[in-house]
Amino acid sequence: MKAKKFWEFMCDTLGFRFYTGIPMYEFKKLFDTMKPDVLHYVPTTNEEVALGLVSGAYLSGIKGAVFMSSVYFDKLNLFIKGFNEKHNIPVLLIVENDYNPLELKQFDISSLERMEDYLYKGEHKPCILIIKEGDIT
Amino acid sequence: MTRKKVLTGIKELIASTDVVFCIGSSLCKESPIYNEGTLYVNNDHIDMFAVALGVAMATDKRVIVVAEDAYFLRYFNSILQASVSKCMNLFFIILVTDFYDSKVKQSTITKAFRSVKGMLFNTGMMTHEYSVYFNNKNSVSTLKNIILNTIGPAVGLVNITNNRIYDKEEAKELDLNNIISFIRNKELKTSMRKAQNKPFDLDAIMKEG
Repeated sequence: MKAKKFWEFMCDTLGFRFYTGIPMYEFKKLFDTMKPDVLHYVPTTNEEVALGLVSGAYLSGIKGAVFMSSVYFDKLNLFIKGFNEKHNIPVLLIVENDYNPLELKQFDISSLERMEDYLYKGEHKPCILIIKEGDIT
Repeated sequence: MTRKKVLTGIKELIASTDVVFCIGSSLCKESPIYNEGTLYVNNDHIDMFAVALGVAMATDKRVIVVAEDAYFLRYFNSILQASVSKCMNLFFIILVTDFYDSKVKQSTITKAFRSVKGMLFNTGMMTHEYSVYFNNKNSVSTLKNIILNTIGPAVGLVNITNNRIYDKEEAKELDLNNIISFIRNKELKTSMRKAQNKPFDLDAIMKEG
């Protein structure tokens, strides 16, 4: 999928306009094509802060996603289980591989349409979107 | 300053439209119900400073966070994040008790810092010492005016000398549905909301350079 198409789908069709996280080389193409006129990206000090920002923005009615490496899932265990899952606060975590120790529902680039239904109409639970190297051109 | 006096004094500072985060197991038990938009987070292991910052970024309501110094030390990186956020509606009230927990009476490192105020000031946060304002009702209303005229992100430090915990009640829990409707019940005027409403036209933006 082209980076432009991805942003168009995420921002326009799904309505995700708020992104946070730590910039990573794997998502370079996505970061290079971000435009501040249509979306907000807030670089954070760590992944926990990023998850907190997106969870807080959801309470205010803004859909958001976190760019992070899946190796930090272990660190976020308490936050996701103790806050997001306990209080049904949906959050989208965009990661680079399918390492999923918390057994969250996972989507990939081909199943983007089903993601919004899961997050905001159905389960209201955190889920992950896996974007592997080569998925974005 | 006694803990009870401060916690009841804070109630005077809070307007009915404010979103209040009351963080920590002991605060959830002893704090009065501040207003309809109070979130009681009975968990010391989740970074609620970041959640409060997320709320503040996307609403025009004033967001007030009440926490103890042990929590403040644990999640100081979120304070750093808040200091660069330019959220004018975000206020932290930190109760400097110098104890980690009400049951485990072990001292924190807060008072060992040469100057907590100086440390916060260097991050770019507006930093105040609120302790003296909790002496009587008149000074609390003075503090109320000061906070109204303060531009966030700001931190108010309150030294607690008598840290006796009044946790006779059951811990209050977060009632999320009420809170969400409370926070969202207003037309947002933030820049983030403007971006939300803007139609996506990447080609035009690319052309603009």
